[in-house]
Amino acid sequence: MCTAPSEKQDPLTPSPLHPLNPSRLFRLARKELTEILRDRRTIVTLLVMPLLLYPLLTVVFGQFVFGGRTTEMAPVYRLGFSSKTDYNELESRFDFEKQRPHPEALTALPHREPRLFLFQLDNLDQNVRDGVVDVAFRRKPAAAAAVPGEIAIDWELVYREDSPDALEAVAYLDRLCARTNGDILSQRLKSAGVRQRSDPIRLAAAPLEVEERHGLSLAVFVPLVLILMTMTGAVYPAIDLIAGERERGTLEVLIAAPVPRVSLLFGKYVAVVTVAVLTALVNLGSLTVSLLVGGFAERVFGSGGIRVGTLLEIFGLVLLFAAFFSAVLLVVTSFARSFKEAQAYLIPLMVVALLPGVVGLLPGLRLSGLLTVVPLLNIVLLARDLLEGHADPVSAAVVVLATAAYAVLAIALAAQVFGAEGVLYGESGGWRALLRRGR
Amino acid sequence: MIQVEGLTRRFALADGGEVLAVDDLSFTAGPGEVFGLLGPNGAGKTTTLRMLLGLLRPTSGRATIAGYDSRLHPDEVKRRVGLVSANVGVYPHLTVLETLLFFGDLYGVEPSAAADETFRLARLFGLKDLLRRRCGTLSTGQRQRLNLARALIHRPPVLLLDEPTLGLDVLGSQVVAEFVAHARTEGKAVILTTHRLDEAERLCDRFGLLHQGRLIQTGTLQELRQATGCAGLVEMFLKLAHTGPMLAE
Repeated sequence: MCTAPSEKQDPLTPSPLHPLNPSRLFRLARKELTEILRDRRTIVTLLVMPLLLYPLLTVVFGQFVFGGRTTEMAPVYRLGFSSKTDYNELESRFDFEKQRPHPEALTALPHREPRLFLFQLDNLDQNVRDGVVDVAFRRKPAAAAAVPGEIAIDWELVYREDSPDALEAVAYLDRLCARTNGDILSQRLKSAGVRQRSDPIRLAAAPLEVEERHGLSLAVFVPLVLILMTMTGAVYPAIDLIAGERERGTLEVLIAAPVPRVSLLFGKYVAVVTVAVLTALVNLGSLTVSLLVGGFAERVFGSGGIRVGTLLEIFGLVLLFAAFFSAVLLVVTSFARSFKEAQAYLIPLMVVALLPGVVGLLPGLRLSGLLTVVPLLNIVLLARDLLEGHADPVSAAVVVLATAAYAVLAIALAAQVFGAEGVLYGESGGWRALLRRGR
Repeated sequence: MIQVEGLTRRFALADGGEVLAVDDLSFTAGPGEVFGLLGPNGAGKTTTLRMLLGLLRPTSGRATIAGYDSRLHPDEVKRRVGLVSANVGVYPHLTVLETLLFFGDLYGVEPSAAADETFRLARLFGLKDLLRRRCGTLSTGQRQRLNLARALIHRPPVLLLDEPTLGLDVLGSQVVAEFVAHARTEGKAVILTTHRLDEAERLCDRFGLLHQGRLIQTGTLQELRQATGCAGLVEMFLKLAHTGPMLAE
């Protein structure tokens, strides 16, 4: 039964906009960002993790790798003795309380003179095990009867093999003993009318200034960590805004609107990149503050410390990586029909993505030739070169252009897959069906 | 307003076979008319709606809405159609107001017009007090009312309703019934799919009975009664589909 229409039924819609109309893209991206930034899970990844992670890593790294010391601190060794008599004997030989660098040691191999703390303790072994002292002196019985006039003192150094401080202390005491032995021999030879300095053979250190360092530089860990954190920040938004859309049941009504799929996808892409970049910013800030406060800035970045220009360059690279990786994530998640399926696809992707980063840690690897176009590896190497102050402009330009090209290709592929019939409606029929679209 | 001619859709299977989901479907629906596309689960109702909207490409045949072919002018068709689907979700972190304005924007409605229409629809569907509430906190009935309002934000002349009462209680179903009546009054052409034949008798003006992808009968209730000799749609369907007892002896 039809009734006459009571009013004109023209839709309230003007002419269609260009698919990449900037104001439309901005509004689409704004809606996606609003949604994703109101999600608690995004806030945890974006804010909570970096603010907790880097201070914790700095403390752990400092305690277990550098023994709680920074470049500015002199080493501290705690030495134990069982009696005052033992202490007095060793003090008379080594002069603990007045230890200064040997005058002639100015040309010796460089080492920092430690601060020594001395303790008289009863149960030396237990105190070493408990970490009360790093090294304990225990008198050893003489191997043979001393020749009259001969100085022959035997001591055992008791220490824990798993303690970096103890190993350093033993090495220091060994050097101290060698120096003292030399002085004693020199004195005795002098008394016998033989002139001989205490260290017949001297080694003098003369380090060279080099442009390239061999070996593993700590600086390469910084961009790798930032890249890992950027990947972590981008993963959840990519899954939620693509596969999550289908799972929530909002994808069909979205595709039913007269908006080109490339526009919809681009709005989501902008949102994912934004969250990834915000994650990188927070991570970079937290890492910088942690290194500065923890006193590790020079150890990681060299004698110049953290420079603003370097930070800006690193951020630029992370931005480029975020743009590339977000596009890759969108391609992968566009194939997924559910949150769970998307997570299953992303786990191997993350493993594959980590490989170039790990390869980038290899010492002696130069950013040149084909390596400038290998995704992720090129960014890690370029970031390392920037931090070490020897980045080549031409290689840098190739890295930037190659990465940008990969991002564009990935977005183009995602636009083909996003909203495809096979993904929308779970049609079986292989990859050809997947790429057939409803329009 | 809506013309479907020989619409057919086959789906390829992974084992190389295929399923004929919709087979040579033809029907029309005019302004102010509610056409019920009725059938059991798997009859091809939802597939038909998706082809009408251009979300699925037909294997053969054509569908036109307001004079626009859904394959050749999909955007023009989409601008003129409001879709309500049983499985439609909501954006949990957007408010009701943001959701309606977003869809207004998607359909190209000017912001001031979209705001006016949003408040009008909020009054109509009892969503006025929920505008600032996030959609994730809405009840099932409230979400369905939001989806109904969303489908009307751009004042489409055509409405496609796919199982709109699925999962709703009696009050929720009543909202849908009043919505359909309202759409009829406004002169919209409505296609409604449902497997609830008893409910369809209440909501629709004309019916198309769909079984295994084929339209086995169309007409008003009176015409169907005359053609089948049955009083109700359930009996008509069972007779026309030549189905025997559903339980084996």
